[in-house]
Amino acid sequence: MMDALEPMTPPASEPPPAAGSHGLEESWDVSRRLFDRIREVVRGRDEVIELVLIALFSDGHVLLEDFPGSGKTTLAKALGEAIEDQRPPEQRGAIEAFRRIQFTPDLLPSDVTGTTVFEPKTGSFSFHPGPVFAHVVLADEINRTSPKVQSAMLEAMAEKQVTVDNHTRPLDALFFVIATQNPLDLAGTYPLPVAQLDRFLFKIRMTHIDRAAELDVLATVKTRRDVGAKHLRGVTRDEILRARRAIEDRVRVDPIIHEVLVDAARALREDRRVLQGVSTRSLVLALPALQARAMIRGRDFVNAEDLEVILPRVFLHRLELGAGADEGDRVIAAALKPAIERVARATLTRV
Amino acid sequence: MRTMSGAATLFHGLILGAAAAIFAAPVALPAGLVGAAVGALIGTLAAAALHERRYRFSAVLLLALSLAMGGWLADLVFVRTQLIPGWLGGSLSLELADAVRAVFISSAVVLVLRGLALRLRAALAIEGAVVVLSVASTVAAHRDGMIARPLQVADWFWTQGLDPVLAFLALGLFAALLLAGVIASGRRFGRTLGQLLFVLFLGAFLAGRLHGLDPEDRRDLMGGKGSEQDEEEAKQRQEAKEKAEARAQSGEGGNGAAPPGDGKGTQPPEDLPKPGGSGKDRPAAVVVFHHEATPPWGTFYFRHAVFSQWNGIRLVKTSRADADPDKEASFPTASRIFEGVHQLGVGRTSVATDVALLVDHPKIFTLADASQVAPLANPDPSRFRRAYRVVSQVYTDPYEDLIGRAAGELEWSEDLWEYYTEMPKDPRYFELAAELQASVRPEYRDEPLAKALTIKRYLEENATYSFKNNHEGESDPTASFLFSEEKLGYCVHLSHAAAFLMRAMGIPARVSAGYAVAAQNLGSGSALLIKQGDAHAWAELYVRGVGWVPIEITPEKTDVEPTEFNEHDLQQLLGEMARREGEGLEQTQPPPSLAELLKPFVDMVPYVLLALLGLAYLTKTWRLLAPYVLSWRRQPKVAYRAALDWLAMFGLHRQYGESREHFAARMDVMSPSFRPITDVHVGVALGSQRLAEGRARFMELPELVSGVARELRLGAPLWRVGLGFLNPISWWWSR
Repeated sequence: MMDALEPMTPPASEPPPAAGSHGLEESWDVSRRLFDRIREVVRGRDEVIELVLIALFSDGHVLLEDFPGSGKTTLAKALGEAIEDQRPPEQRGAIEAFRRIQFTPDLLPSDVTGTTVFEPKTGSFSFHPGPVFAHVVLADEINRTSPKVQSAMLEAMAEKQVTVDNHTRPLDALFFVIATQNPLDLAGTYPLPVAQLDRFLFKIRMTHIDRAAELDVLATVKTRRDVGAKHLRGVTRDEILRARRAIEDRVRVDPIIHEVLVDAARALREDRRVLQGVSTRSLVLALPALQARAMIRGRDFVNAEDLEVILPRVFLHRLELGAGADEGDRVIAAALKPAIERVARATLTRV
Repeated sequence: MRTMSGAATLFHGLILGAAAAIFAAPVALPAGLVGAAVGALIGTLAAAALHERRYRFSAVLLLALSLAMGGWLADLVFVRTQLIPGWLGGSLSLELADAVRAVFISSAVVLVLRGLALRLRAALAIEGAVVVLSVASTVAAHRDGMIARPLQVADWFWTQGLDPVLAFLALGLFAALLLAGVIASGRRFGRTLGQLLFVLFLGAFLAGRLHGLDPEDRRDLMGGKGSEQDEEEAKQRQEAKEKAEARAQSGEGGNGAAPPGDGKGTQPPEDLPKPGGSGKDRPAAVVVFHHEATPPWGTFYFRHAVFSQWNGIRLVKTSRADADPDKEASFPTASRIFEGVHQLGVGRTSVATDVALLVDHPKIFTLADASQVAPLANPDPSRFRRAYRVVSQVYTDPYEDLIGRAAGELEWSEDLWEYYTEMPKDPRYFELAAELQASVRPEYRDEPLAKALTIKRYLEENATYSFKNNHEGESDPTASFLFSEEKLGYCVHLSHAAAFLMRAMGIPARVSAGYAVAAQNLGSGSALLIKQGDAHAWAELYVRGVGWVPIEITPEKTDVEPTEFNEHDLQQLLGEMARREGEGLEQTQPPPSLAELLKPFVDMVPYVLLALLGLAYLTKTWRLLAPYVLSWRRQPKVAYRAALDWLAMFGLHRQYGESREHFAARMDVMSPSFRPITDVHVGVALGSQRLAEGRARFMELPELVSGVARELRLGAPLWRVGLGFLNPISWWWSR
């Protein structure tokens, strides 16, 4: 229900932050380059791209709920390809830039995590890493596979490590998952319970792109296939990791934002329409997301607009509503209103 | 579908209830008023409920119709059958019937009105019109402060010491407010209520100011006759009177025979009561009795003019010094004694009365027979025109004691005797007089009183009291009345006829004009209300040793509706007011009324309001100018606040729950300069490192504020700009 939320303006024309000591210029440049590269390939999805980048910079994962052929894979692939790993191969190990897992009912956990095989030549066991050993992983139709595989995948997402044969192997620090599921075709699926949805920072539900964007897609289909986005400069893995640290350190979160976060969560829990409110973990996850958005928008502080945009997308899939209740986004908007008002009132009294 | 909040519906119901009660006030018992109000409330709630449940309007109409039927049925059950009255008793069941009927009818009417208004916005106008009309119809009866039915409203205001006219103005204001409430209550309820209360306060303040004004000014304000106008009228009257007197004297000079057909002379003198006319029930004065005395004829006569001189057409005021010692007098400036009357003593009781005039009166009038008049301080200048004290010698002995006394005084000169018996030479008077004298029983033939009573009985049996024919323009109006077939006439004709007939029998007689009030009106109290409708003229004969005795003629036949006296409360009240000053020595300070207690505060209100207004403008100006005055460090706050104030001047406010960023985005179309100000303000407030060091950006802010002002001014029509500047509290809504 993206359309019910606040429409986002693309950050494209935002000027780079003026030179100063805040140290976010590099991060902003990274986000800018990533955004431009993905946008070159995926048209009419600026909001989704921004959310995906926010998740990337805040070390979260996203679940895209979308119909087939809407550019999920393209987006994930473009993101994976935009990230170069410039480390020497021995450091890099078996980490790929982009891997895709097509989830099916007969998939096994080892198909995801990797497996140990006996090497007759050397007479020893060696580990063959699974597709999760990559920077960007596209987990396609994650609700089609058995809970066993789902939990293996979700463990990897939560812990950034996999355990195969009692041997724990760390995943890459960048490890970023874009999972998808089809919102309609639900026959023979294993829907993710709320507890597992909690592992995703965002669940992004999308509608069809608008007419102009669709026309644009058709008009540019050849160029995009032939040229791609290779002519635009990508980013490196290390740049992203540095940006993550910079965001955490340098984007200021005012105490009033903390208060408002907690107040909004409490209001949601107390709402009679809500069966299960949002967890404290979701608030912890929301903080870097708020900071990441502020950075992408060229700010070094979190403001109320960030709250308005991020919180509904963090909270919506974590709420369990009672039967017959309103749309979740309306419930969240009601809980958010006093919080936003508080921030607005606070500014005039403190300056 | 338009729905209203519960509170707004309730508010609406209360307004309609008030209107219904006011409408019912003249026609219903107290229980009925409550019933009407409750019915209106029920109707409002029912209309809202039906509307919410999406009932069709035809269903609403049907329900209203059945409610109206219910009202009719209630009337049938409660009053027309024996069942309920037999059980509850008559008056209780009558009141109950009134209440139940009012509930049914008022709920039916309101249901239709509200039902229509909820479906059709334009129908709100009908509703408003009904509200205003229901209030107006009740108040209309009190036009000009007239004391007329229904009395509840006016009387109540009199008891509160308030002028009803003022109260009616307040009622009008109230009605307008009700209308405004009806129209506005569908909108934002809280704000509407606040505004209504403010307007009500303002109205109360204005009313208070008006009340505090000097009475002359107030009458002008109320659109009544200005005092100058009144004086002018009085002057004109005075001139007319002088002319009439001059004419009378010239008539006297012409050997007692006025030229018949003198067009001017046929006009009746001003002092005689005129028939009919408006303001009959309007109070003219209140008389406070200091002593008890009731004349045997049961009527208090207040004279203001005496007519005893024959001018060839009718009796006019005397020009002789020795006649009528109690002739009319101007208002006293000092105590004055009427010598002739003072010597009267037989069967008389001395009575002191205080007269307080409620309307301008050209001449003093006194309770018969006045022996002394003295000025009196006006007990309440805002209510009474002027006041004076009269000492009267009221004849209180039994009527029978008058028998056996001759007419006239022995010491009267021949000339004076002739003067008091002068009359038209028309032989018909003498023929009729002789005929009547012959009908008196032989033993009383020499009794002047018996003859007078015979005349009285003759006129009462044969004349018809009527205003239809005033016999104006006749050479002898009295003859025209007395010798016509129908004998249509009113007090002027009756008294003249009686006087002439008595004179024809040789009895000294005259006509007095003034007011006649039934003694029973005095009741148990001591105050007597004189209404303008009490104006009267009556015949008098002179009984030796007693003085002038009135002969009241009340024809058995009349075509005039009799009026009843029913203003005892008002009379008592006005009497108390008039007595306040008259108490003299034992003057006690009356407890201050609420209005008096509040007066200092009310007087302070305009200054407080003015001060508040000045403060508001000062604040507004300061907030707008602060960015240009204060240092750059303060800019993130003051510049943003000034920009907000500019927006607020044009009615642009951030909504509740709207973030500052969102508001800035919303305003972007109208004022692009607002956004950068917002960015700096919010950034600094939320701890941006980068912005905190940006002195250059802070310095730009005043410039941007000017930009906001310019953009808004250019984008709005001139009147809106002016309104924005004039609004003293636009900044209040900056948030």
